[in-house]
Amino acid sequence: MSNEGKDIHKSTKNEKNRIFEEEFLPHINAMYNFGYRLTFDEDDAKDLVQDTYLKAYRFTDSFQKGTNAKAWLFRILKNSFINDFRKKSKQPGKVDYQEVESYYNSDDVDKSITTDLRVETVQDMIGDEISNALNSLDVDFRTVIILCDLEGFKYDEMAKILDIPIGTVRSRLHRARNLLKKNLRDYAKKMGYK
Amino acid sequence: MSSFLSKFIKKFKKNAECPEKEKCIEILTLVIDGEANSEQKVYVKNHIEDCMPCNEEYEVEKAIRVLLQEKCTHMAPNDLLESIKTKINQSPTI
Ligand SMILES: [Zn+2]
Repeated sequence: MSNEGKDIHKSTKNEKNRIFEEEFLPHINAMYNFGYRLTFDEDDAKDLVQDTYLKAYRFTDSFQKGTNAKAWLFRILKNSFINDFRKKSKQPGKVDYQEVESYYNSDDVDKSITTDLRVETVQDMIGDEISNALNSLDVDFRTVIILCDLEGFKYDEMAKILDIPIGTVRSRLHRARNLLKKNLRDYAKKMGYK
Repeated sequence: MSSFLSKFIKKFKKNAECPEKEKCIEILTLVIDGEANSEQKVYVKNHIEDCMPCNEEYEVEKAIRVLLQEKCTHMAPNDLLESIKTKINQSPTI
């Protein structure tokens, strides 16, 4: 009897390790990049990723096999960032999630910004322009750009990662991209592009 | 006649405004995001062949994404993977 129980436990542990190695760990670069883009600090990003993986390991049972492991991991990282990290390093002057939400639900940011960006101009930006443009976005806008344009998540996956409706994903993305383009256009002007 | 005419039309359209730009941008974003249905894909394909403002918009969107993917990805430091594995092995809850 006790032997059987032991076997079951052991195979679960093996299975757990297999899932961890094969499905979780391969996303370490994407996870680190997400952490780094959220915190702008290499050590903080490392802590965030490490915490996320320890949590993921502990809660492997609640991961549904066959679903998108990357999305699941990103969701844990995002929550760790909000709950643990942000609380610890609450910087004065930093805006809160809710405040930000009400800000970009206002109408003025909703209007399409005509950017007049040209393809050649974008392709000529071979330095840090794009990185600076992305980094200067508010964290919520930054996040949707990272998830969609860098990591290729679908809208429904982003909705689950961020705990928001798909409609909000789309409107947030729309605004984020407009702001990104506005930043790029400002750089282009500074550099003297037409 | 068609070659001359189409050149003329293209030249004319280059300076033209798209009458439904807002709608076009929304749909072409869906296409780039891989979220468009077949009807929307056909619409974009047909429309941006003729509509220069939307064509430019489409290319700009794609160029920005290429740039993001090239310039905004950091690899995890080498020691991170090892330190995670070590922590997992030491974890008492296993
Ligand atoms: Zn058009």
